[in-house]
Amino acid sequence: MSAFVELSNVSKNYQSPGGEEGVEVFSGINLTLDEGESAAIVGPSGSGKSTLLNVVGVLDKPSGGKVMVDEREVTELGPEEAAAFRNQTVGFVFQAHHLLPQCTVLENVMVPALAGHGNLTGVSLRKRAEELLEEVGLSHRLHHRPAEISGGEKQRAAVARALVNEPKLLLADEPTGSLDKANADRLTELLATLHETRGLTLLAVTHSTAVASRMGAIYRLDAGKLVRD
Amino acid sequence: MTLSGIVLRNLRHYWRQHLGVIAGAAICSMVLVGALMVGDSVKATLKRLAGERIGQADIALLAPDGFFREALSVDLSRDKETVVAPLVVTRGNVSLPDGTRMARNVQVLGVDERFWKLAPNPDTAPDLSKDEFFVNARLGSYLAAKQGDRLILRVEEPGLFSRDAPLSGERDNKFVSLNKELGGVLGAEAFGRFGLQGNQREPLTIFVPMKTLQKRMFRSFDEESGNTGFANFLLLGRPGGEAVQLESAEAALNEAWSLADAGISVKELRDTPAWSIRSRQVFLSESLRQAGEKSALQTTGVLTYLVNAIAKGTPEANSSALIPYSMVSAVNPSKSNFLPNDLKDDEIVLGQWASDDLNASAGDAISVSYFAVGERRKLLEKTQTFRLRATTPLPLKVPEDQESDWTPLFPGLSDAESCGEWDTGIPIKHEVRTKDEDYWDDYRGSPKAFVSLAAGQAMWGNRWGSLTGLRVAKEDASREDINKTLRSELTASEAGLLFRSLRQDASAAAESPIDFGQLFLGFSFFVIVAAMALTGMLFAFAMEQRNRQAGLLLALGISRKKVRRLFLAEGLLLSMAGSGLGVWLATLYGQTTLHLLSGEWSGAVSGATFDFAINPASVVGGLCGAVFIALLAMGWATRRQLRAEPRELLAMGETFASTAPRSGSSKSGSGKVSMRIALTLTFIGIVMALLTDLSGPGASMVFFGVGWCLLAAGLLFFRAKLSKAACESGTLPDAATLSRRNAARRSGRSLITAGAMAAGAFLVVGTGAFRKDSSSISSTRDSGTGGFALVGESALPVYDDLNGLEGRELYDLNSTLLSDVYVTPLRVREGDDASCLNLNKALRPRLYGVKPSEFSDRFAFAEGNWSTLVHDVSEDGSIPAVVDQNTMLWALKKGVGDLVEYQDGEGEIFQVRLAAVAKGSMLQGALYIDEKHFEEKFPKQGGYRSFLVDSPSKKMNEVSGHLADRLANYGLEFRPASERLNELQEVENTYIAIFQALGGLGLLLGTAGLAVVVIRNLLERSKEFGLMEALGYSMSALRKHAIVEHRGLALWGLGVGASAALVGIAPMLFGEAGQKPGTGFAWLFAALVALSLFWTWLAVSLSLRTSRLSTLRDE
Repeated sequence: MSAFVELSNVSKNYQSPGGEEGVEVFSGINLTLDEGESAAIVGPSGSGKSTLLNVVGVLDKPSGGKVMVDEREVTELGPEEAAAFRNQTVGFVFQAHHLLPQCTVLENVMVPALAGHGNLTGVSLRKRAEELLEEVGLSHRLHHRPAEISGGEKQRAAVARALVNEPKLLLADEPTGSLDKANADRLTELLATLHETRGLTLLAVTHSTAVASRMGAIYRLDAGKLVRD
Repeated sequence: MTLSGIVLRNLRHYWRQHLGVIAGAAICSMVLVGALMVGDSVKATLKRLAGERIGQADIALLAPDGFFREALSVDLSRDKETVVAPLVVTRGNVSLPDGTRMARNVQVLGVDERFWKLAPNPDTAPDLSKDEFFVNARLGSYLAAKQGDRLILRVEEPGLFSRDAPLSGERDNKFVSLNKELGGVLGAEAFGRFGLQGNQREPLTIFVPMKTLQKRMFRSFDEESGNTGFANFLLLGRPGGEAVQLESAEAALNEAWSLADAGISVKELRDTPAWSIRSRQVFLSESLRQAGEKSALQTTGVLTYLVNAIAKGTPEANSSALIPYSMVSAVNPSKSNFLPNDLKDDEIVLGQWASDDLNASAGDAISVSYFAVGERRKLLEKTQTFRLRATTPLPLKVPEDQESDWTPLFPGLSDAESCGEWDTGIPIKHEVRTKDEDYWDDYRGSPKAFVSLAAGQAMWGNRWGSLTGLRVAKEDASREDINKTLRSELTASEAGLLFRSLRQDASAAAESPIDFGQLFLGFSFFVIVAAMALTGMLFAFAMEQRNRQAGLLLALGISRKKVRRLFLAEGLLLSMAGSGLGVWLATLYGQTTLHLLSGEWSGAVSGATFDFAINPASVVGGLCGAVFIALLAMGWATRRQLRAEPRELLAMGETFASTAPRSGSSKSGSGKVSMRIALTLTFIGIVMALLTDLSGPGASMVFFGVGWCLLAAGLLFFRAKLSKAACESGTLPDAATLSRRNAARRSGRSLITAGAMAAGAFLVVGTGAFRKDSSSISSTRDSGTGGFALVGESALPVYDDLNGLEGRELYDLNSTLLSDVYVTPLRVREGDDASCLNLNKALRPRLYGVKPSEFSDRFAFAEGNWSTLVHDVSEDGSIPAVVDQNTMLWALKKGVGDLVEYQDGEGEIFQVRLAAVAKGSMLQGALYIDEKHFEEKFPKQGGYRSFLVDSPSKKMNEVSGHLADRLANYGLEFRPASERLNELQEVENTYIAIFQALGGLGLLLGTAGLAVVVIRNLLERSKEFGLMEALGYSMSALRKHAIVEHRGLALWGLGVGASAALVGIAPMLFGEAGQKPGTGFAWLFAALVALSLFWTWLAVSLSLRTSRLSTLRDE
């Protein structure tokens, strides 16, 4: 069985405005995650953890190397293909919830399905969104606006939104970074449960040892190099 | 580093963001200063034209109804510096010898070299020694004549007195023709624009050597001496020196004028030791009568009249014994020494010759038949019966070439060799016997009978006077005494000599009743608002991108006030830079506008062309105004930004986010209220529309109101829709719902965007409802033409009724053709054109005398009607007048009941009251009073010069051509009444077109504001787009959603505005009158839609050009 996520010799540089000298974020990154496996990437601030996660999630392109996800070379994807890939294969949970303030919690969860890449529409979409919200413990908040719920609830809604298209890969970027301990623990538990029950491949970037400890593997990114702890 | 240093650094660093602000301020300044420049240019042009019109003349002395001695000009010359130029001013026709071209109603100026001393440039004076004609540029161009061509000038030989008056001589006018070579064409510098009336249009003028004109025009004026040195106009000026003051000129005139200037003479009687005060106008004016009677002179009034018959018996007796055509004199019996002192008013004294001829004796009934002049010079034969009281001896024989002491010089009578040569203007129906001829040979016009003065005045008194002479016994006064006494009793104005301050009038007239600066500012309202909004939005936008900077400055302890000042100082510098640039653009804007006014928009200014003039005060004022407006917009747009706490500003980043709506908020309630009001307004609009006749009067106004209702309703619907979208929750069926929800998120901004588009579209398209189409001009009596088919004007007065048999015979009119045609004549007192065609201020509008009964039911009135002229008698003696509403409001700037001052024929001031107001009529430009009042005030002015013709439309052209042909000598010209009305409406239409054009320009500019709104919305939601992208939305999908969302705003606004406007112009589109608007509004609307879509697309493309994912990374 081939790896679900496979990074080979991946590097990322940022060009300076003058273009003369580049800033290397990381280089020679190799990472393999099998389907259903979970991993955490830890490291100091500015080490490029989120950038690496974005490269995996096709939110960013590497400067070099190869990124394979679900047997597809994602660095080669065009804009439309990349969008479809993100929509159908990847689910994101960010440090900030990024819920649309003009939509209710239920609607926010349904938003990814409206991009038009999948077949989930109408009643089935709504039903799925309601089920997900029930799963994350927000069935009582379906018709509330983001401004009307707590930070922890917002982040759980964001998790539900990430799952609406049933992605195989869930990427979480500091998912508990802006939560208090109680909410952070609850969210960590939720992510772990979802990983287990849904067989998701989960890659999380975190400073939190609590989150990292719940992952199958921990990688440390420091000085541009990724090393398994 | 200082705070001002920060301002400069900011300007340098953010210069790209500020370009838009500078552009907005520049547009605002361009429009403001440009509009003021247009106003200044119009003022400067009118001032120049006024200067060219009067040259270096300061004052004019004119005799509106007569002529004075040319020598008066010499008598008035008090110093060497003052030039007094005499003129003969009249009107006539000028044609080429082959008749291919003829200019009617031309201003004819008989002038000598003194006239050009007062020209704008005296060095341009032509050489008059060759006895040639000169014409001004307009007439030269009209005739296409060049130097050396021969021209034929035809003018009227003026009568001694009004041809309206009885016994005024032959019925038809006398004309004289002059055939001369054209010496050249005179430009404005050479007085080519000379004229009394303030008007931007150059008159048609021909200049004739004065002596030449005088010799022909006044050849019969003074048959005793053969003198032809008369004039009716003097120009006074002091070239290069101080202006001649009116007071000093009046003082000089009071010393210089003589009785001869008023046509008054003192004749030494032959048969009686007495003097007789007489007038060239035969009948003594009321002022002369009063002057004679109230002076110390012992005067005896005499009224001598030509009667048709003196017969024995009553009229019923049908006596065959009658004496035809005799003079009868009326005198006060107590003041005569040959009549019974107690002669009663029903008694008559016959001369011995008449008594013998009639074989009458004391106590016999004697009837006297005579002609009185009725309306329109109609002769009415009347008969009065007297009882013969006594007989007087035969008069003394009258020497050859002389006239009886009793009889004034009646034209056509006194100079007749025999009775057969009489040309008195009355039909001769009685046989003139041999003995009558013998009497004429021996006694000329010696009266054959006498009646009391009271009886005579009751029969023959008229508006010209009730005496033909005043006798003064020689033993009571010498000729000099009489002259002196009359001169002291009479004023120059009573003698018909009126001064007019040309310079003062020209200066006042140059003040256009319409301030074009303000007018164009008003027209540019949308451009200014659009530029203001653009400036404010762009500045706010630029400032919001610097929230962090503002937050930092506040966090560093700089006061809120100071930070605000810092930002506004930046704004001030930007607005100054933009406004400065706008001043340069304003010169282009002003010149373009003036160019359009001379071309495309010439309908608004009657074809005037303007000089471009810059008034520094206007530039500075406009510049300051533009800076202030831009600063105001910036201050208002950024008012909320600095109210936030430093922490908030630091956290906000580049957007000034507002709190997101909560479900179930008050928006739902306000949405329902909006919906209810919208439904109510729609209902009201529909009811109003259903109750109004599309083709009826006032339909435009009602439907414009309905349009407003629907516009407000449409916007309230939109508001309700936004409120509903903001509050709705549940399923998201498609991405469009998300777009709608997004629009509802900034409901205020969305509503303003849609509302501005709607209001602009409505106003620009809807004002078309007030356009008037020439093809729809109705011919009904209550329409703007009053139901008249033709309007005409003649250069010379026509005295006879063109509807009567006599008039039609006199002018050889085709009675068959004119069988169903009626010509309504109007008396005209020249004055300023107070219509919208004249850009100058009308000081004394033209005055028309009308017969109200001929106008009943004609034209539509906002106040009163024609009967007001008869019934609305005021205690203050003011004369009621009909005035057109536009003339009253815009040219005169007066209201109903206001007074307009005039001078009567003797210089007395009288007031004309605006009593009745006609709406949308061709009556514009003048005041209309009852003919009876006109005659009272201007008794010496005879005839009619304006004509309104009722004619079947199918033969209108034939009638017009026939009348113009038969009365060609009078310079009579006709044009369709609809054309006249259309010419006036064209001004209104052009103003609407200008408003639509400039409003449209503002609206088009406003669509650029839409782009700013779009960019601002999208940038505020960058993270949202980043997230959507992360969730799998492609950039093209996001752009599509953004376009759909914002396109909806623009299209909704435009749709609501255009729909409401279409209802507003429904009477034009569907009314029976068929007033079809042009396709301009449709093009404008299409341009608006296209531009809105373009700006939306451009803004979205620029804002969402690249991935927004980076906004997520910032976290």
